[in-house]
Amino acid sequence: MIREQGISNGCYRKSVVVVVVGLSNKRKRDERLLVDEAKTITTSTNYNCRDPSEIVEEILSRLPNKSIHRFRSLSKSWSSLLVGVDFLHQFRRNSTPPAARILKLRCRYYGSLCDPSHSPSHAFALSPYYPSNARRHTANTKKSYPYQKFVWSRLTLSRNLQKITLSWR
Amino acid sequence: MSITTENNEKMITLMSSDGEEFVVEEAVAAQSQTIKHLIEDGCSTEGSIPLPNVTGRVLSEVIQYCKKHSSSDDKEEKELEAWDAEFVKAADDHVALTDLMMAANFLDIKGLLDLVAQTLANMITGKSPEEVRRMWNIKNDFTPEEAEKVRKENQWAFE
Repeated sequence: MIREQGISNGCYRKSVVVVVVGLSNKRKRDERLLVDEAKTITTSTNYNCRDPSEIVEEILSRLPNKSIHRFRSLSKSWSSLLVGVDFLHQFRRNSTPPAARILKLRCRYYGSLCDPSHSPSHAFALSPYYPSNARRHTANTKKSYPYQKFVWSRLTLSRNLQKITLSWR
Repeated sequence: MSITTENNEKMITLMSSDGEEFVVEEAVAAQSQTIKHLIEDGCSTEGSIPLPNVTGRVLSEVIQYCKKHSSSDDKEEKELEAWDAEFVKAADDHVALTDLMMAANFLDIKGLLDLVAQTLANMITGKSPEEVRRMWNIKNDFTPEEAEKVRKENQWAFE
């Protein structure tokens, strides 16, 4: 029964690997493959337990900061999820900090992660503030002119910020 | 199976894990990105689309949501928000909401996923770790020493 499976720890543990390789495109492809497979096999095994960690992540990314810290003592898996990089990205994207905090965070962010060898689109794929639909758009199609404009203007900004970060150090 | 109705609306048949069949308009079903991709790939032409990890009960709720959201336009945003609030209220407990969220995740319906995730987040925000563990049957796998350490590190969040 699905109701009993819920987000139990057992289910959650099985899918820890999914978080690590949790790229959305891959996930979609996997889902399609699984559905195709289900068409021929008609029964599925363990399907409900596939990725509860993603669900936990979705919920946790919407919690206020205080709750996030309190739930670190919940279990090891929750704790690692709460401090994980993937999660931090989501948390920053979903929360709306004041402009000054955005600037600070972004400086820190690019200082640690933005590497000159990254292609522009890759640098933006890493940005936690970049709208997820736009990010997907630029990653998939190169002919999207409005988004490209957006990417370049944002890139200039991020480069400036990186300079600021470096000069601070 | 794809049938066409009188007003030329293409119909899609979805089959839940427990074998229940739902005939819905393509525009409604296509609210789910997963189903949309399947339709684009031509999977809907050869019988019903099986959804092996969504039960009939959950699927009927999901379809209810999709119907409402495919028929409303932007002008009705306020009304839609109120409808959403009633919709999650009707799901009544966290188990039903978790089922709904897993379905929304699998079917890739962003609006529904956001809505349910936010509702669940609001539900647990003020709760203690112990209460959340009980809610979802989560085992505390910290040793007493580790638990104490983590608690000390995040002491301010307990105050």
